[in-house]
Amino acid sequence: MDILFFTIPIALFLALIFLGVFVFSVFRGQFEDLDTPAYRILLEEKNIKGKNNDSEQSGN
Amino acid sequence: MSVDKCDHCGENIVVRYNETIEGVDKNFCCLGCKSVYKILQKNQLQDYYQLRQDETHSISLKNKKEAKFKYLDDPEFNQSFVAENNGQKEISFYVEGVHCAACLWILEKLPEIDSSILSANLNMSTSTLTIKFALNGKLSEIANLISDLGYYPHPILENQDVRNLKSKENRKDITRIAVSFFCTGNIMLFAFSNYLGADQSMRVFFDLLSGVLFLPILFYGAIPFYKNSFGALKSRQLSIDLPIVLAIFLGAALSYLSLITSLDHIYFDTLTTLIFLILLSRFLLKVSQQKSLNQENIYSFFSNIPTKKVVDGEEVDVFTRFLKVDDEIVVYPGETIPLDGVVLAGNSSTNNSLITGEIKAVKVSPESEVFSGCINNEEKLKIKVTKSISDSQLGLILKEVEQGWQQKTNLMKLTDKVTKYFVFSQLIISVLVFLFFLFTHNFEVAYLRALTLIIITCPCALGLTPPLTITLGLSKLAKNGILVKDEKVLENIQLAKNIFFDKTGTLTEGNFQIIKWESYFDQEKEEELIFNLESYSSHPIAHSIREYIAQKWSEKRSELPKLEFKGARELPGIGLEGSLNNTLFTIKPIDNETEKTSFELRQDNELLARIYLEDHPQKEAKEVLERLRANYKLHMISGDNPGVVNRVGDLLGFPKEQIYSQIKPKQKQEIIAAHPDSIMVGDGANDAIAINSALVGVAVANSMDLSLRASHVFFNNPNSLVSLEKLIIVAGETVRIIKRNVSFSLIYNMIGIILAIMGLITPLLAAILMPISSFTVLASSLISTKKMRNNV
Repeated sequence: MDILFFTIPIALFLALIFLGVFVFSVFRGQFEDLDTPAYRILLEEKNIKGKNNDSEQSGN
Repeated sequence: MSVDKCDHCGENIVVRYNETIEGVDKNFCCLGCKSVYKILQKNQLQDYYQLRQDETHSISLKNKKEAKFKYLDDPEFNQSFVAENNGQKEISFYVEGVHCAACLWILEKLPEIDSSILSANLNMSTSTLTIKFALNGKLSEIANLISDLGYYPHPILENQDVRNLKSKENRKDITRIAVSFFCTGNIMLFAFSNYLGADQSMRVFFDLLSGVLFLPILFYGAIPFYKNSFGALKSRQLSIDLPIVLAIFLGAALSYLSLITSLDHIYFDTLTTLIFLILLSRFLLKVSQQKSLNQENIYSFFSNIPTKKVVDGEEVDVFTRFLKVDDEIVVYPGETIPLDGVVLAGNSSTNNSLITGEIKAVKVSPESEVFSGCINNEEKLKIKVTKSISDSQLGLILKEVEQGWQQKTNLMKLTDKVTKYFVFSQLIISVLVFLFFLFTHNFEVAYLRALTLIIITCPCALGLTPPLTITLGLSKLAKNGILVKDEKVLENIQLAKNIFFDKTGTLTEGNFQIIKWESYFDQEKEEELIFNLESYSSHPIAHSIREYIAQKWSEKRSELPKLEFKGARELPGIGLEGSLNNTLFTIKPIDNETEKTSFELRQDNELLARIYLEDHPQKEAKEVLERLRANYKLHMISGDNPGVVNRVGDLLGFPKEQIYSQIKPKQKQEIIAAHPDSIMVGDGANDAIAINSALVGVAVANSMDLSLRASHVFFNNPNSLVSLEKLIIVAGETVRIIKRNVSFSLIYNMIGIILAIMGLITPLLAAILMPISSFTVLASSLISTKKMRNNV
């Protein structure tokens, strides 16, 4: 069981990293609008297509 | 001829607007739909039509609001509404009509349509569109584009600092909760291992780690509790946070002491759970409050009326809030007079129903006084402003509404009082217990018993219950389209004995149906004439009549011809006139008809048709009212004439003495004030004062801005009576759950106090029992009651 003295701090450290990532995303405002991104992810493909159309146009 | 569907909105076409686009024949129901289609076509954005789920997701633009956005270019407007930085400008609009992924897609595509727009970002939960645009971009053009696409933009005046502060605070709260949860979770893991019998070396290691993980909670997570209790102490008050702070300090001191001296009194797990749960529940409550309708939002709607100001003989569009006394303004027929003033030129009549509740038009001529909120009926009026926005009629009503609001919130703090007494007695008892055992036993026993007492009687369940249960209740209501602006409403409803209903739009649908058509000519011809002439009116009745005729014709599978009237204009009341082939056609109310809403069509004074309309009671109205009658006395209160009111009253089973007709707004308020235990449900601006003086004021869907501001509750769905019933049930059950939980935790605390004083439980047992009580309360709130589950 002595291995616990080593693995528990490592586990804590890992969890600390996740906590840091979470806090980072909070301060980037990722939790301020929870509804729109759910829709936006559906549109991503179309967006790219739209942009391609544009570039084709300008190419012509 | 078959009935075609509009290629934009999918509605049956009554009047055809055709266009051949890229070799394909396209059909549209109105010019608005056609122009949207063309804008999308031109910018290669037809994907919109694939993205929406079905055709009904695009609203027909037949009844599109006539938008005037010139005022957006006014420099004064720009100064207060537009933020400028890094060579670009930014503005936020509240956009009406956003509902699906296709809306999001098309609105965020704005930069591809107009090159002056740099970026567009839509927040669907708040319907807020934030637009960044180039310095040379014209705001009026951007707004016109949004409105051409079928949405209606309202510029939002939101102080950038306030908004940033709010989001910063929320971010801080979330971080605090996240850190607390991180520490709590890990400490709990260690504590479990210890309770399950970890060996001695492991136990010491776990306790040490817990001690370390407790530090962030002590010095960071619990800061709000310190602030609250010291803030309260400074103003000589006892905050509910005080015992929590005491428990944290005493518990931490004992736990760290145990860590050093290997005593067996370690309570890190108890303390962190306590802090985490309270932080979380408070944050949930705050978020639910922020989401519900806030007053600033409504204010921005209200002051968004553009006005024509006369500058050097020319008419310039300005924002109403920038008008000053002695400015000259021009109000066209159909427009609302923004501020009180004196008529300089023009003979017209005004519709004062917004202010007085009377539908009858009032004649005005030069020198006569006009009031804000009145609608100009006939002729262009030139008006000299005599009162500023806050002194105008409308402003005064607003002030009254706001004052009533303030008084109410100050009155009710009963729950806080109870907890304060509870905290006070808890502290006194703890001190007495400590002193008693200090003299009869020794310091250790005294300390332990006092600590056990504080931990077990921690009013955490007491403090947790009301916010948590109320939040759950409010969010359940919000899901049903019932927005509660003030949570005290849930308590107040319990005290209500009377319910007052406004008639139109509350008990009835506000959607007029034709019940009788007396034809003296050729009904088909009459329908053509009325359909086309009514298109010049914006009155809801005109809309209902057009709907009726359009429906009838589309069932016959034929198309209505378009007729262009010359000199068409609205007459006072619901009248209209216009000429066709040099004959004058008029639509006006039938004289001496008081029983029903009615009008007649005349051709050069020759009677063509008489039409009678009726506003239907809402679906299920009778059943719901019957159920409500079991607990409340129901009244009907209306500004309409007695004939109409009595008929609806009879239909819905109101006894004669509980029907009030021809009531002016001030009288409405007096009647409500005479019944202090009443709920008022209404919609018009003439209900605003009454709504505000009621114990609980409810504004139904499509209410006037004024009523929205005055109300405590707002129904965001058309079925107002069912919503009212739901509101009453949820409010009742929420209060019941709170009472259930509070009495549970009080009884629990009593038993705890007795056991702790007798020394029958150790702090360890108290530490296990205390969170159990919190979780019981939590579960009780979540499970709620059977009645609530069945009804909402």
